[in-house]
Amino acid sequence: MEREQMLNYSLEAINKAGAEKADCFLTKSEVHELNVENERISLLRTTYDTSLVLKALKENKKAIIKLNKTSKEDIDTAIEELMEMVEHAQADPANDISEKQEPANFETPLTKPDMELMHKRLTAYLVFIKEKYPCLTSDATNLKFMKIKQNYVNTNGVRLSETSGRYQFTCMFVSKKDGKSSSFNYSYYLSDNLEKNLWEYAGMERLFKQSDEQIETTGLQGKFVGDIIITPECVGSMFGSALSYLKDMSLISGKSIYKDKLGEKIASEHFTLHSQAVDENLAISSHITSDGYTSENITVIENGILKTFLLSRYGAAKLDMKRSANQGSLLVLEPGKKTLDEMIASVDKGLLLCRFSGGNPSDNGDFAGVAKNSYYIENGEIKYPVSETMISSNVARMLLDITEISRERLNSGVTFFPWVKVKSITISGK
Amino acid sequence: MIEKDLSKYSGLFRNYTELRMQENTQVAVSMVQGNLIGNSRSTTSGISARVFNEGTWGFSSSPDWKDTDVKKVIEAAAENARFLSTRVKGLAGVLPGRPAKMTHVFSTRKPRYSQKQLIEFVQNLDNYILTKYPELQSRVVQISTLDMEKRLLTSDGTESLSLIPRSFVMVSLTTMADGQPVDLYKPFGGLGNIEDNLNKPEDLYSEIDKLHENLMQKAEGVYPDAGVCDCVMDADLAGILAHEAIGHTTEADFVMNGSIAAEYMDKKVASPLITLIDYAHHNNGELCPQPVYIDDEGVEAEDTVIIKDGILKSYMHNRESAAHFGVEPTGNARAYSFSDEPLIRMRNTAMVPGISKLEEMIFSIDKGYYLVQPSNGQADSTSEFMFGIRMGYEIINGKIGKAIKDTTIAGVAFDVLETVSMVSDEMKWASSGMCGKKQPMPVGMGGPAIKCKVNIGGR
Repeated sequence: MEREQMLNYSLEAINKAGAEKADCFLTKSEVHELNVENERISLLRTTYDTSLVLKALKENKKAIIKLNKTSKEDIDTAIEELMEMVEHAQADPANDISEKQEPANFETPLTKPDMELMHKRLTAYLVFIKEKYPCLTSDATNLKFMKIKQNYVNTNGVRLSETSGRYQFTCMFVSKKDGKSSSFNYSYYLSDNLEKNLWEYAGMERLFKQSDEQIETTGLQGKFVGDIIITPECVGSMFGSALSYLKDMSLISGKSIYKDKLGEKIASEHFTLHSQAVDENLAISSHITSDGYTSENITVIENGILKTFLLSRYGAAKLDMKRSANQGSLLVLEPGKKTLDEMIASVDKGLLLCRFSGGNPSDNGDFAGVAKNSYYIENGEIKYPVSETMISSNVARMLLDITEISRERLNSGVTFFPWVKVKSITISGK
Repeated sequence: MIEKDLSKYSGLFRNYTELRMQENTQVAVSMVQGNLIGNSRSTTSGISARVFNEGTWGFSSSPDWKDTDVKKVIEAAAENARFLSTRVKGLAGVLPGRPAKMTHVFSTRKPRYSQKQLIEFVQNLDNYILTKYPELQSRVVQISTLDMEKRLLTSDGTESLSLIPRSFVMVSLTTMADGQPVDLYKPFGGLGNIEDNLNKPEDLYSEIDKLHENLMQKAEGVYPDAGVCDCVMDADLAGILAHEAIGHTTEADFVMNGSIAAEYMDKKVASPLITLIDYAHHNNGELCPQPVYIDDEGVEAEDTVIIKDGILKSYMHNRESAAHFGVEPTGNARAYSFSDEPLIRMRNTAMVPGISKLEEMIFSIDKGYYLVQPSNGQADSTSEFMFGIRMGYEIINGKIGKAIKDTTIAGVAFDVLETVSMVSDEMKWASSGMCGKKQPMPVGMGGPAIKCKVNIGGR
């Protein structure tokens, strides 16, 4: 069946089977991926997949089934199972589907890969690494093109669709010399073109230089409280968990440390964070939410004030709050006024935190982990790369303790982050 | 079950070819504070082919598996391999293998639970928690299952069928202490369908009581003193150390990509008390949590003895890395989904038990920590690791003291293993987590408790 026919058939069949409301989310994906192993391009992978997610509502009860085979027989079998599931679910008035909206279709111009160009760019990357960074190995690396078509339909008459194509480059690398090895590091970005060499996006060459420097490290001794400057590559892992406290699971369970903080100060006044559906700085857009709405740009935190939770339709209904106009993807952090050099110069004792190896914080926001690929800063100067150095703090406290944000920002195609300086972090060595 | 006979497609193979048909089936039922927020089932299935041509690989996949789709997938994989082989100089020749014909199906023989029964199971546990512990801030009960079924045909003679299910009930409890949430969770289950792992909800009541008791201890917990100290890592911690910090550094692709283990073959890397093995399917006559009999390159799987009496003896290999290092493949190539290519992955990684008793290990420490449950872990090419600790206790004068708050331990694994001075005589497995390396992958990890020195985070 063609896409439209498949979606119409599915909605009708769920209705006929006894559901009062239904929705369908169809995703068709196509991936072309070149992989590197042992310093050469070793694998070309082409995959096609389908995901059809069917939701049925009956007497406020909800069930969801997902399949990737879409013949009439497969859909009929899935719907039979879906209706069995919904019969025995628990009634919850918060279960519903998105309200009637104007139909909308979003498309990006890039629809197919240029395989010759992909091969040329990746080959050039391997030659560049070998010649300019002979100590560096970058094997777990791939360049791929992804085309994704999404359709959302429901029985309230909502019809949304989005087609996008993008390139993604991911590389992991390690430097080795005289039997010594740096910590691994990695980088990635998304782009709607391959106009430049692969190492010229997302500040990648800075990381290669650092990797070579990090073959020789020094373990910090003792423990002190100091500043950290978080690099743009690390900002997401340090502050991303704070966003989870704004989402359905954390708020419905009542565990969120921000549950009573809407409209209140939860971060430094320097901190303004947007979640974008469309942003001219980013390589991709996100026009459709998973619960069937057209996404909009939102400001999550403005000058330190929490402006919105990131609630889905269900979460909003459950908590009698407002649904978020998107669900917290494509993050853009407003720049500050200082340059990175000025920020480094202002640190008496601390770290340039380039990668963080740590788990999710506790429910209260406490965390501890290892500062990887990072540098010790003293008297305003970067001194040396460190190893076996841990940092600990609390995510909520850290947001409030941001003292400076850099003027410069780094664009990964899905995020646009500056360097962020935070005070009062516990830093401990051996 | 996938009933299709793949052998009829062997005539389409022109080069070395793997043809895999796979179906992953998942069920999730989640209850948060008595609200059924998750009630879903998912099936992802399809066919893939991988072709080796003059040192390069081509891969293709499709969710459809009619005869015409299978033919197209094989042709597309061959074309992809040709595209690369005309542009890239690869490792020519025949890759080593160990073909076999096997069937291993671990699905239940009992009648399957309906979604209604699963929901009632979760509701029963939620009601039990609410009734017995009404003061809790939050409760979450989840059932999650994953059945992985694979049929594989390779041009060098492997034909296999495997169905490996796993199923878990996860219970998470949260209380408030000093105005801050404190949580603790634990998964119950393992290899097998839910019908074989959990007979009735009441069987978990005592486990939930124990979890609540531990949570109350943790709510009264103290921050550990930061720094290097003597610790007893219980089996779950030793298992994650074996997997994350040693296992990943000894995956042959990671070795070729710069892992420090490249420098250590046949050298002393740990205390002589340490023997560490990636088991294929059995340990000491018992089935492991993630049995692999034939890997996804069609190689018959064998145990990989990574460290023997403190000496690094082997890496984990796929066919290509085995050819690179001039050794036999170990059967460690695994793929998560039909559309994934096989990568070098662990199976069931564990240290071998020793002779000490846990009690005497704790008794031997004047001041230190008994670390019981990890939350997650990460490691590095240098074997530097960090693990979250979600449950642990002080040890003071050889006795268990107060519980500690969530913390993190870190160190260089090969250095930490050099400090191991006692290994317990017990063997425990954990298998609820997913290993992440481009693709997710269910794995088993386990072992005995070990006494060692490690850096613990404080406040």
